[in-house]
Amino acid sequence: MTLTQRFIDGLWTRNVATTQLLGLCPLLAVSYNVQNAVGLAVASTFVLVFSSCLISLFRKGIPENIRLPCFVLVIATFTTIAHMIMQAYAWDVYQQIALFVQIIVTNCMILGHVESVASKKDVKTSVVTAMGTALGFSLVLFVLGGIRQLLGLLTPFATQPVGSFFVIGIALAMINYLKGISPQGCTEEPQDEPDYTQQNYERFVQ
Amino acid sequence: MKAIATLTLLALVAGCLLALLQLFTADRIEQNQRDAEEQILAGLVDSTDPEILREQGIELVNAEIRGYGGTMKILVAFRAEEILGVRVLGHGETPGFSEVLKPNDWIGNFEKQSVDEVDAVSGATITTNAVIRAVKDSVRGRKDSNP
Repeated sequence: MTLTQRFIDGLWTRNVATTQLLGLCPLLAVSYNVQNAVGLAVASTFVLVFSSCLISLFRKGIPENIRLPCFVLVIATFTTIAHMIMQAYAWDVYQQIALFVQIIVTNCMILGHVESVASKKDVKTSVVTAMGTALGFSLVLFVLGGIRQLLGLLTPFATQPVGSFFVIGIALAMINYLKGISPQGCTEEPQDEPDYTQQNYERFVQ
Repeated sequence: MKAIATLTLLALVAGCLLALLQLFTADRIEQNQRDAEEQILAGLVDSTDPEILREQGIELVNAEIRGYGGTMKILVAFRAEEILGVRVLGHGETPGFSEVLKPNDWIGNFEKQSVDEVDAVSGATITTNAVIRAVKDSVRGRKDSNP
């Protein structure tokens, strides 16, 4: 797989939010306006890209049996860095999404990416893949934030953020339609498997 | 053995990195916090300077109490014997439920009613009960210190 392919894979084909359905908790909780959505997108991107870079750099030095504690330690460090920087330079946004910045540590998108890509591939590959994945996540956050902010303005008497599950549900349905995925699963014809029964039968007869 | 060494080294590097960043950001974070507190108090008192407040007969009492999500920092403003108002300076309550702690919401009840009349809010019972308890404690504490 080339780097461009990996990037597009993370951005669209295997988008964490719309295809793998990972990291939905912070995504739905925060995306009720564009400002918060962008705040979380920037923080998540920062943590994902830098953790991938570091872990990929030291992947040969991390023993197999303690890889998870090591990954979590690195991710937690970058999350704390994001948390401190936001507190210092983006106080207002931070006050809105503080809790969801802190739980980036447990975001399956990041741990999943680190485990499946960064700990196995070289730095360039894992950083490019991380960027694609993070950009895909940010894009979903941004679009969802935009739609829901608009919905909030159009909905009278709404005191709480509106429409999280409806908007993501409709968006997922549309994306699946565009990708040609039917409710039964993939529309592509399954590859014909070689028929072993005849051979087995012949062997049995012999 | 290698596992212990790797983890120790990693934790050490991470710790140093965070400590270094803390040096650079601590001042700004503290400044932001102070600005935010001043903004919260803006509708209640003209100034946070104790000298000016004493001339107006206002006394600010700080209280800390455990809420649903950690410690809440609460400030009670007294004029003579009566409560001028209550504000929450910092908290870790669940987003959404913490709406009651905003100046124009439930917490404004302390300005209109006596402490014994203020009721908890259903749905945010732990949060609001904690605030009520903190206010009652500070009233009692003040009575004890100047009888």
